[in-house]
Amino acid sequence: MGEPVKAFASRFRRNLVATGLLACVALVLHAALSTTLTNEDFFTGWLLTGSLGVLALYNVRRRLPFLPLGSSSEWLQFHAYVGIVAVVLFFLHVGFTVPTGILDLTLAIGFTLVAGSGIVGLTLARRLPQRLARRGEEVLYDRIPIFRHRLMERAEILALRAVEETGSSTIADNYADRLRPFFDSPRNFIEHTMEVTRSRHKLLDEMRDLERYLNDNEKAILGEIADLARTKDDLDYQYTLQTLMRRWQFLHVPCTYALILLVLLHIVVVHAFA
Amino acid sequence: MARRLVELQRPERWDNPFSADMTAEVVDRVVGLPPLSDIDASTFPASASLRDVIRNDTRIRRYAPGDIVVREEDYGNSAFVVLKGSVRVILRPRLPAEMLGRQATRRRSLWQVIRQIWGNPIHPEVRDVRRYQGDAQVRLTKADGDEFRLTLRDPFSIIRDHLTVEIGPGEMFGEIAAVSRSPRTATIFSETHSELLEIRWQGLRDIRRRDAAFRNKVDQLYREHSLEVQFRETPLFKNLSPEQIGEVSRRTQFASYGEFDWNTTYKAVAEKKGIERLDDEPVIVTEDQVADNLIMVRSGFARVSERVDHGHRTVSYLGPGDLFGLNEIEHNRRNGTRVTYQHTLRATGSVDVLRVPAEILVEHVLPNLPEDLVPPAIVPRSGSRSAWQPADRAGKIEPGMLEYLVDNRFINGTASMMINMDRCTRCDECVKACAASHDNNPRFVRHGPQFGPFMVANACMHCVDPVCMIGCPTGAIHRNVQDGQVIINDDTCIGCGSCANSCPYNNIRLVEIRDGSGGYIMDEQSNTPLVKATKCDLCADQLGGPACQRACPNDALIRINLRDLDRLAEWVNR
Repeated sequence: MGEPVKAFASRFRRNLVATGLLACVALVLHAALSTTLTNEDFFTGWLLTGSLGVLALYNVRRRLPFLPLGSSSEWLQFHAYVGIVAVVLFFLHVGFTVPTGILDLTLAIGFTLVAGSGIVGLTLARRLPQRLARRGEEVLYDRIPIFRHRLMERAEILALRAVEETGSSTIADNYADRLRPFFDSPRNFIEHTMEVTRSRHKLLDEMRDLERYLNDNEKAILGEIADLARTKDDLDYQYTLQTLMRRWQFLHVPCTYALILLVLLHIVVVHAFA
Repeated sequence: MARRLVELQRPERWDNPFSADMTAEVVDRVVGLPPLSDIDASTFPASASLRDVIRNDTRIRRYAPGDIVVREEDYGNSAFVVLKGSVRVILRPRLPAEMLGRQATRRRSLWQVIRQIWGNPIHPEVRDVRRYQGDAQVRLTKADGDEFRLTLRDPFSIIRDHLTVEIGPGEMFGEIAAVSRSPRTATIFSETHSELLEIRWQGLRDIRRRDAAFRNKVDQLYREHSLEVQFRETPLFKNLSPEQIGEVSRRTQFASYGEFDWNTTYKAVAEKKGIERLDDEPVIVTEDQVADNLIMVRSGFARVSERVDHGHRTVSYLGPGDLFGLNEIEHNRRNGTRVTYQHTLRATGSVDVLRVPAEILVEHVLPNLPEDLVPPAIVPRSGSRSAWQPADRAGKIEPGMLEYLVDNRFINGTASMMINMDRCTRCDECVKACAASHDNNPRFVRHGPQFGPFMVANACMHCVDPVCMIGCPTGAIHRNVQDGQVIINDDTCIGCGSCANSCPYNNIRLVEIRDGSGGYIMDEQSNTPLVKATKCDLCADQLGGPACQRACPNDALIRINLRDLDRLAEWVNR
């Protein structure tokens, strides 16, 4: 608990230099081996396999939080920078060309998927929290459906109250046609991801257009429903971003396991036909 | 629509007396017995007479032989007078933690840690009921009413094997811990069938205020037993001879500020705005006063602020052991000036301070101070600062954050869970790690009040002033003597909820416990599920420290002592 707090910038510089050095060593060794009669593909292949093994260990660490194996953030840093070295090794291994053959091509696609999803995940992890903290109320992911349901109930009560108090069905009709589906489930996933608010404004504009048919009492009720709609939209925003931050791993981790199996198959094939 | 007004009598101090059993006859009997008979009742006002204090702020408690009255290291808020029988103070050796209803923290072995991979129960809050079958040396007993207490099985062997002192009728104990809100220094148990008068701190405060003899006696006891030790342990006074320490001790004055039960009022105060909020905090010294005393915080917390136009800006806060005014006193000594304190010091909650006169520092302490302890030079200022003029800590922690920490009393935390929401990906790895380390039961909620992106999550902060510990009938919630964590002994917790109700931060939860098959463990008498208090224990039994902090992949979460402002500044500005 009392360990010194390292500044992110200095850690970033240190790790980048170390990674650059490692990559350079790999490049030099590869170049040196290519001038000899040694098959440099075995060298890069085994190094790449080792790197993949090390990278996969991070998931093991995550699942054993009670073991004194160092902090997860240090592991993630190591994971990310070894991942960069692995990309360099991969390009050296394939000779900067697109592999031919079904197995090799599948392997290359698998590696690209794993590395790509990792880069996307890391980018999301660094970008989305700041967006999340600045819009809507912070809600625990598991509780979002409960909050959504509560908002829908409150909107429904207001719509019914409008009918009871005014005898007019304008608000209730609008609720049934447009708002109920909106309140019922998460909406506008892509728009929230892209930070676009077109649908939100459209929905609120439609509600505002209704005002010309309403008396003061109904306008007040519609105002309350509009507030709920804004809250629901913010909740969807929270849901979208939290979902993105959680779900990218559903691509990264299974692809990693599939890749490891393919690598093992590749090793067997290479040695069988060497 | 006209609002209906509800009229109520303004709540009065003694609306809720300590006990309903203090009848006029009992009060008559008690005030006639020493030491209460020695108190000069004429110094009390008619509106709050000595008899009123006895009637409302005391209660009679009866103990059987072996019943533990107070435990060493417990936080008490009351003192006791022996009316009948006798009690024994255990001087040495100390009783083991298990005999006081506590848990001796043992780190798990590597094998036990690894076994958690497959050994954690699948149901929540599973307990092995065999653990509750009782200890060989101490047992839980039910006393008057429904009160539980711990009873030593063999008090005579304790008297035989330990150095003990008898306290008999007419003698008082526990007053120092009660008035200074400090841990009890010894365990005391009833030797015979005894009758004690328990005086809660409000009554003690009144008696101390009104009766000079009582006040002098308590102050003298404190000077003899605690103050000199405290001076010897403070680096500033370490080089003084015993005679000099004695003189410093004699000339030091005690002062108390604020309300003892701050935990019940601070939320309402925190909602006030700007200077109004500070108006409720008693001033210890202002920046208009000449720095003629060194202020040492003995217990509680104090806000350090500086005047900015018509308001005040919080620049720091002080806790137990911290000093205020030393820089100014040294400046005056070196330059022969009489500058004022450079900041204002206010009590946030209940604060006890020591006032060491500047003359004695100038005479004995400052001339012989080692180089590393010499306070830095200051450039004295007078009058208000501009809002745009940076505060002392500007660039490190913004004043708004300091005020947020002080107003919400988060400064009480020695291991608060802070989360930077700008880095937190809401992956809940911290929650999962906590659950995995506690038999699949998370011991905190990743939610809580925020200042900007910084959240103080609902996890036990392991407070400097742990109000949760006051009132635990069995001592199940206690501070771990080795590492200082506040932990709950599940074996002796009776689920009364006293700690959960007292925790001002809502960080203790009561849970219904189950057996290995998932069925609730029921109370034989009431046929309702047994409950236990649970909270973060900082993974005291795990290897490697708090799992939550180690599990965060994004460096978003830290367990931090919020008195360590430099570390907080480093983390905030990472």
